Amino acid sequence: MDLARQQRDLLELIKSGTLRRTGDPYIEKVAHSPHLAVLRDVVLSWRAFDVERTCRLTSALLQQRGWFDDAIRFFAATADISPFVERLRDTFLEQMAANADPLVAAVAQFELYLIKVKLGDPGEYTVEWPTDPRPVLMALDEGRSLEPLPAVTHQMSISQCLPGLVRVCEVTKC
Amino acid sequence: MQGNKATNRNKITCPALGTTYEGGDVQLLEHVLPLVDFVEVTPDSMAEYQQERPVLPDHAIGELKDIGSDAHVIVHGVGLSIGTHDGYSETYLQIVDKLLDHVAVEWHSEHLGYVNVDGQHLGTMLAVSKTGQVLDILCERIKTIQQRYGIPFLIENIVHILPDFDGEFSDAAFLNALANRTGCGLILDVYNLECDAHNHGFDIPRFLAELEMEHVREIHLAGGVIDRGFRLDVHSRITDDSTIALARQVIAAAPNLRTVTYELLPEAVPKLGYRAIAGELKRLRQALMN
Repeated sequence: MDLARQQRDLLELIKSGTLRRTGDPYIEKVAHSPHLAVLRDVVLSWRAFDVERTCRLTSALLQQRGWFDDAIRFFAATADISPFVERLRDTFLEQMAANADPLVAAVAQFELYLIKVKLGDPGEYTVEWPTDPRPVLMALDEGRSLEPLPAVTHQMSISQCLPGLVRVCEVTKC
Repeated sequence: MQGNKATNRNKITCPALGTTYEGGDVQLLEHVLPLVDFVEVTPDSMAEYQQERPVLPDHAIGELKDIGSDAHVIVHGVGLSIGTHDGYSETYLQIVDKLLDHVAVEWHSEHLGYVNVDGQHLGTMLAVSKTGQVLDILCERIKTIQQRYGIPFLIENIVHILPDFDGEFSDAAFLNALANRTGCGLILDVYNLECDAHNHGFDIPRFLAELEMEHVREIHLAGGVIDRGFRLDVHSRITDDSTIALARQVIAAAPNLRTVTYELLPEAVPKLGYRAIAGELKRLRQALMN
């Protein structure tokens, strides 16, 4: 038995559910067992639980749009996920900060940068929003559905130097 | 004094009663400390990620020192990953180093499994393959850990979610060999045995008949859930009567047993409630220690 190979194959099965390499009877047995699907669901549910409690606003937006489960599946399959929840949180927010949807990206960047600044990061961060972030963040924080908002680009700065850590302005008026 | 626990931490029942605690819940401590002799802590769950590495914060150390005046502290990790092909987690041991520098600990334990592969976390824990090759690797690592800390080290049977690799050893023979070759003790998680029996048809009577019971120093008990026909090791409920019955069977056969520990995830505490947890500890003491 090649121990390293076996463990790498099991890692790949848990992360992706499939295997590029085949031929090992034990790995084939695991790949086709109902136990693997259950295990992967358990892993995903813990990922979702951790993301929901640590990335509250981004999770709320993803859930409103019906994208949360897919986002967790993609995160579990592609990211190197730490068992330490603070690191897991940052990794998820970094992934969502690059999301193709500009509002999801903006909310994730806001959560990520605000956490950094609150933890003492001296940098100044800028987030570009496709709309006024204030009603968006308020609705997500209060668990309300987002109303359609006018597409007016806003710029948000996040820094320890700013009163309340955050400043928002319309791009045309900044 | 609540329950039947002696107020003097040196005068404990045999076996003693313990429970798990992962920090930051003063109300939980107030409810459980009067009822237990041992508090089992998971150092990597208490650690915080600071400056690109997990560290045990000073407030956690302070809390553990306070616990130590009321109960015996034992350490039970999840992040050592003793079975990983290219070595265990030094990061985890650095957390333990700091804990043991400040807190008096009776023993240190880990799961017989692995959570990391090539530096990536599995998101779960997998059982080791029970082969001679793996046995040799584990014995060497256990001896290194025993030398590093100079306190007893215990290994726990974990739940097997995936089908087992057909190794040269049975589960009991593998645990016997580990204990005999290294002198380590065993934690027998009786709920995990029930999960394995439910999910894989594991033969518990045969396992217990083969296991050298003198190595068992601690029993773990928990209650979990059944999901799509699978019994899951989630430590979220009170203990089933069948689990208590199995624990009684082990208690009667394990001459060196020190404690029985009721495991509960911190995430399950709000759902169960402090009073129900305290009630469970009283029930377990009544059922197992009389």
